[in-house]
Amino acid sequence: MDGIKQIFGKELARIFRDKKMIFSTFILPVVLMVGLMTLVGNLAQGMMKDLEDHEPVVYMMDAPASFTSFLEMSEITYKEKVITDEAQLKKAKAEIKSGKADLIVEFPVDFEKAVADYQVGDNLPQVKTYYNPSEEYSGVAYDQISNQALEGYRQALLADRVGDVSTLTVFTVNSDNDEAIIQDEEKASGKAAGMMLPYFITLLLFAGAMSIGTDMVAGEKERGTMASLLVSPLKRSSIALGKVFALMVISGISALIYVVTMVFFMPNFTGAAGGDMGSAIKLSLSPGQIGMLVALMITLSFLYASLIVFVSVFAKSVKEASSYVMPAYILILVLGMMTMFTTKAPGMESFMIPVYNNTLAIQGVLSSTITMPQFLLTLGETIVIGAVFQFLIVKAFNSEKLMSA
Amino acid sequence: MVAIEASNLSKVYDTGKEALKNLDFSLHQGEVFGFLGPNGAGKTTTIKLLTGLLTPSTGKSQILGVDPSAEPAKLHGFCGIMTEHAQMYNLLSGYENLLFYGEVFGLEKEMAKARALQLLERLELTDAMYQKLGTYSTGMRQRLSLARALLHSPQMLFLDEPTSGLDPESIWRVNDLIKEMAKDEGITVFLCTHQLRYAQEVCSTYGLIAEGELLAKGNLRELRALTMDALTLELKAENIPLTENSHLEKVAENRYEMKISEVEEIPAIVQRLARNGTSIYEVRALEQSLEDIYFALIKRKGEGHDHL
Repeated sequence: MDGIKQIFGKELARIFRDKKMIFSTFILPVVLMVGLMTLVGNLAQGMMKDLEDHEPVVYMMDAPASFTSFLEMSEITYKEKVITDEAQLKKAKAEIKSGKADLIVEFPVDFEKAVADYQVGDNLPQVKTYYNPSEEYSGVAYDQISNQALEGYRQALLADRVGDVSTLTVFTVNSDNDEAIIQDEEKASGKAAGMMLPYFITLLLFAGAMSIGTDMVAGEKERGTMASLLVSPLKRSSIALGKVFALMVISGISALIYVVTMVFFMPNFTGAAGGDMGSAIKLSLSPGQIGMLVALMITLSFLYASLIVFVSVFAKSVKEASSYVMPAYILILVLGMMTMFTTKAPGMESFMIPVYNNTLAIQGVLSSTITMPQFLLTLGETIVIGAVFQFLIVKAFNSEKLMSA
Repeated sequence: MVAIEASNLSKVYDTGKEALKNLDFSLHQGEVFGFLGPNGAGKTTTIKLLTGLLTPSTGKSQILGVDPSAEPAKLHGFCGIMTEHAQMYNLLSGYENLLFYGEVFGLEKEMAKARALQLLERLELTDAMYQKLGTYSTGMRQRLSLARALLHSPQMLFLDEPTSGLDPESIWRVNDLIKEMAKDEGITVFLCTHQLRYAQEVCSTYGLIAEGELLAKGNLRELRALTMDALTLELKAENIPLTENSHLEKVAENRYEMKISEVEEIPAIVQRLARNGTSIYEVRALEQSLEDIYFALIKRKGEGHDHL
C-alpha cells in the first residue's frame, strides 16, 4: 500500500538517525541490565565469600573434649566461648537473638559417660543447639556445626560403640554410581534456558516497543505532527500499518539484543551467584528451532506492536498512553511468569491463551518438546489477534473523535 | 469554475455543541476567500469539514468535485492544508521536513528537492534550512508550514490563521506569496482568520461567521452595501445649525460624523450646510472597514435581522 513505506522509513529513521535514540533504545537498557546483573552477581559472590570467611562465635556448654577435638580435626574454624550455668546460657541466647553470637551447643552433663554407659532402654542423651535463622552467619554456623559436624561426631561415637557402622546399614543409594544422570544434554540445557529465556523474550519484546510505540502515536498527536500526516494524501490505514511495522522491527531488534546479551552473559551471572545453572545454559539450536523462534518473535512483535499502537490511539499524550499500556504490560508480565512455575507438560488448551502460548511455545522450542500443532496454533492465533487489533487501529485512525480532538 | 460548494453544512459535536449551522456558500476558482470571525465562531470546524477531517452532521460539500468526507486522501492530493495545530518534526531540519512531506505527497525525490528549495527561498528560510526545526522561531515555523502546504503545488489552499504569531515583516511575506499564487497559479485560497484587518489586505471575497452561522458573504463593496451605512462622512466645521443635529453626531470639538450610503450624497450635504451658515474646514468620506462591517452585522443580528 502506498504510504506504508514512507511512514515505516520515517519511524525507523527517527530512531536510527538519532544517536541518542539508538543509545537509549538499544544500548542503555542492555548496559544497565548487564551492569545490574553483574552487580547482583558480584554482591552475591561477595556475600558467599563473607559467609565462608566468617568465624562463627559458638557458645559451648558442657561440651566433651572429644567433640572439640572432632571439630578441630574437621577443620571447622570457630570462636569458642564456654558457658557453665543457666544464667550464662540465658545471656548467650540473648546474644544469639541480637546477632552477636551465632550458635549455642548444649551438651548434657557427663555426656561421654552417658554415651559409654548406655544400656538398651535408657533415655538417649540429647544435644541441644540454638541459632537464629534470620541471621546469615548463625544459619551457616548451624548448618556446619549442628547439621554436619554433630552428625559426623554421632557416626564416630556409633562406630566406637558397634565397631563396624556398616552392620547398621542395609543398603546405600548411588554411593559410587557416577552415571546416575541419563539425559539429553541439549534438551537439558534447553530446559534450563527455557526456564527464563521465554519469559524475558516475551517481556522484553513488549518493553522494547512500549515507550517508542506510545510516542509514535500519542506523541505525534501531542506534538501536532499527526495532524500534518492526516492532511496528507496517505490513507490512514497506511499510516497505522507503517507505524506498526516499524514498531515491530524496533521491538524485535531490541529483544534480540537483549536475548543475545543474556545468553552470552548468563553463565557469568548465574556462575557468580553460585548457581550451577550457568554451566547448563549452553544453547545449541538447530536451523529448524531457530526458524521457529524467529517466526514466534515476529508474530509476537506484530501482536505487541498492534496492541500498543491501538491503545495509544485513545490517548492524547504520551503520559496518558503510558498509563493505558501499563495494565497490558503487567498482564504480560504475569502470563510470562506463569510458565516459569509450570511442571506439567502443557496441553493444547494452554496454547490457546494469548501471550502465554508464545512463552510456552518458546519454552517448547528451546527444550524440543513442542509439537507442530501447538506451534502452528500459537503462530496462527497470534497473527489473528494482531490482525484484529490492526483492523481496530484502522477504525480508530478513521475516528474523528479520536484523531481530530 | 466552482472550487468549493457547501450546502446546508452543519456540525454538532458529541458534546452537543452545535459548531456550525446550515452553512451555504460557493467559491470560484482563483478567489482568495477570507473566512472571518472571532475564536470559537466555527472557522476551524468549517476547515476540518471541508478538508475531510470531520464528517458533517447534515449537509454536504464538494471541493473541485470531490466529496471531502468520502475521499479525503484524494482531496489532500490536490489541496494544501495549513492548520494551527499541524506541526512538523522538531528533530529534522526544515529542509528534511519538506523532503519527507514531499515523499508523503508522492513527489519524485528530485522534484521534491527542487520544490523544497524554491519554497524555502521564496519564504526566506534558505539560511535556516539545515537547522533543526526545534530551533525555529514561531514565525519561521509558520512559514515552513506554509511551504509544506504548497509543496505539491495544490489547486486549493486551506489556511487556518496563517499569520498567527508572525511579525509584521513575515505577515507581509506570507500575504505577498498568497496573492501571487492566486494571481499567477490560479490557486483558490480559503483563509480563516480572526484578524480582520489582515484579511482585508489579502482577500478578494469574505465570509463573516459568528456562533456557527454565516452572517454574510461577498466582496467588500457588497458587504458595505449590506450594512446600509457604508460610509462615514467626517466634518470639521463651525456654526452647525440646530436643524442638522438629528443627522450629525458631534464626536469632538468642531468635529462631526454622519452615516451615508454613497459618496454621491456628499455635495448635497455640504451645499445645504453652507447655505445654512456653517463654516466647513474639512470634509472626508471614510469607508467602512471589515471590522466596522462585522460589528454592524453582529449588532443587526442581535437586533433580530437574521436575513442579511
